[in-house]
Amino acid sequence: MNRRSFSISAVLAAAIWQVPLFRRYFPQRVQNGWLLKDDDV
Amino acid sequence: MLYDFAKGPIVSDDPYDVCILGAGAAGITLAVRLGRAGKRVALCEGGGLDYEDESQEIYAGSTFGDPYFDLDIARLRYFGGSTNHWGGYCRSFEATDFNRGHMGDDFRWPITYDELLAYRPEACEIVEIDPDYQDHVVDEQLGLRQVDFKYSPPVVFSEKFHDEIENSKNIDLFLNANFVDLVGAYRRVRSVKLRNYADQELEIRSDAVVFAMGGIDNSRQLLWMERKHGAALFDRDLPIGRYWMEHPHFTIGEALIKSWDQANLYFALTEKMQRTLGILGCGVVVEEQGDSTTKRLVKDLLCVAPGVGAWAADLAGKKLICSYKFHAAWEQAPNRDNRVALSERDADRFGVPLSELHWNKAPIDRETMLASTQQFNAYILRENLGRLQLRDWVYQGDEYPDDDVLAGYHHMGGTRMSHTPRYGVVDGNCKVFGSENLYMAGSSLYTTSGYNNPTLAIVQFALRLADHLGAGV
Repeated sequence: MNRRSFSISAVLAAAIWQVPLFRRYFPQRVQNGWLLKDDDV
Repeated sequence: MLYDFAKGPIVSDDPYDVCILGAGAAGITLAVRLGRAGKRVALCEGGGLDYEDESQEIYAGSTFGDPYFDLDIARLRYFGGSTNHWGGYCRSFEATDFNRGHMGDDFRWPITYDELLAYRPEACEIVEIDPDYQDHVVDEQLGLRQVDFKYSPPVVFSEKFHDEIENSKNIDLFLNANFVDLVGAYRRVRSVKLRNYADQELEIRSDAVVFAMGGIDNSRQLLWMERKHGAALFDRDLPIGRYWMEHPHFTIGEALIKSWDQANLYFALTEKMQRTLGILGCGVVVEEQGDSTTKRLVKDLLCVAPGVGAWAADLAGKKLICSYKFHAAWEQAPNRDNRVALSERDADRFGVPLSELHWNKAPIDRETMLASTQQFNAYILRENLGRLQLRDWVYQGDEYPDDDVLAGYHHMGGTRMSHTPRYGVVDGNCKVFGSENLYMAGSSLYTTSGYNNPTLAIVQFALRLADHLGAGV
């Protein structure tokens, strides 16, 4: 267990952990690994 | 003077001021600086002047957890140590690394960044690099900066310092002299026992003893001393072997980028952005690819995103867009469960249990890589430079691939520095907690790992320890 001190509440933190790790950092359109803008396709 | 214990019994000219066990970057730096300052030094190396199987096999061991290299190929056991095969990449700790108290007590160094920085110019001189590091912020808002790496020739320490050590009146180098035991009581080491490959023994008395046997064997040998001597020489229940760290190294993806002059440069995030995102350090290097890769990527992009694909194809036709591979190397959070332990099954020829390495990457390690990559991608998109394609395992959240670089052969932690014996093995002066005269040198000292190659800082810490042991007086 890491010992990072979060500035957000434990409840919010628990909710965030439900989101797959990758999607937390890359919410945009991803196709075949390409990180795209909405108007790319 | 140089004594080869393989040639038969030696009568040592003890007592010495300092006995250093291990003649790699740390041990040689320490010995030379102390010797120049008039201190009497015994520098003891388990191997000879060249590679020998009988020495190297003592580095065998087992690994558990994430895929890792065989321990006997991840380091070298002869005069010069792993500087006999290092790559020469030089970049030291950053101020950020000493400013992570907000992450928890196990991120807290007992010394300041400036205390280490003071030794960087001299360390740069030793590894023959320009000490003037030119980092600059590329984008303040996104927290992106370009970082400067220097390249040592690379300096092989055994070649650079062989003649000075051999001709020194103050340094005695003992080759094929394997550390087997400490002798002492009441928290003070009085002498060191060494053995050659014919099982002849040599005992050397010294006022201070320094372990400089590398980022795995410092832990192995100190664990062995704890098992043999209990609390006679240093505190019991120190986290010896724990908080072991590496730098994960993986290819993150490829990119099509137009008219760019940033290839083969290194990037990282600013301290402010790392703190905002709650992540650690990550370095990204962008390597230019050939035309065939550019064509393949353009074709692939056209299939999934015709709009931007047509734009890339048009630029490719005019040779205005290029393909790049993104490699990342990043910092691991110090984790008590990542550790060097003693094998209960196998021992080396001197009866010392072999190493077991237990090593896993944690979720925060992956977050560090993902968040750093996203900031880089945001810059590429905002500047309309091109598009980045991540490797499958990155965006699908799969396990790390086992056919990539994996790690950096950087062995850090295990006898780490701390302000308290609860989180570390040595204090800010590299002295083992509870001991009067037993010290550690090398990257096993590192409280955290940063994301940079460890050798330059190993030399800085060795110079600093030399001053503490009297060279600076």
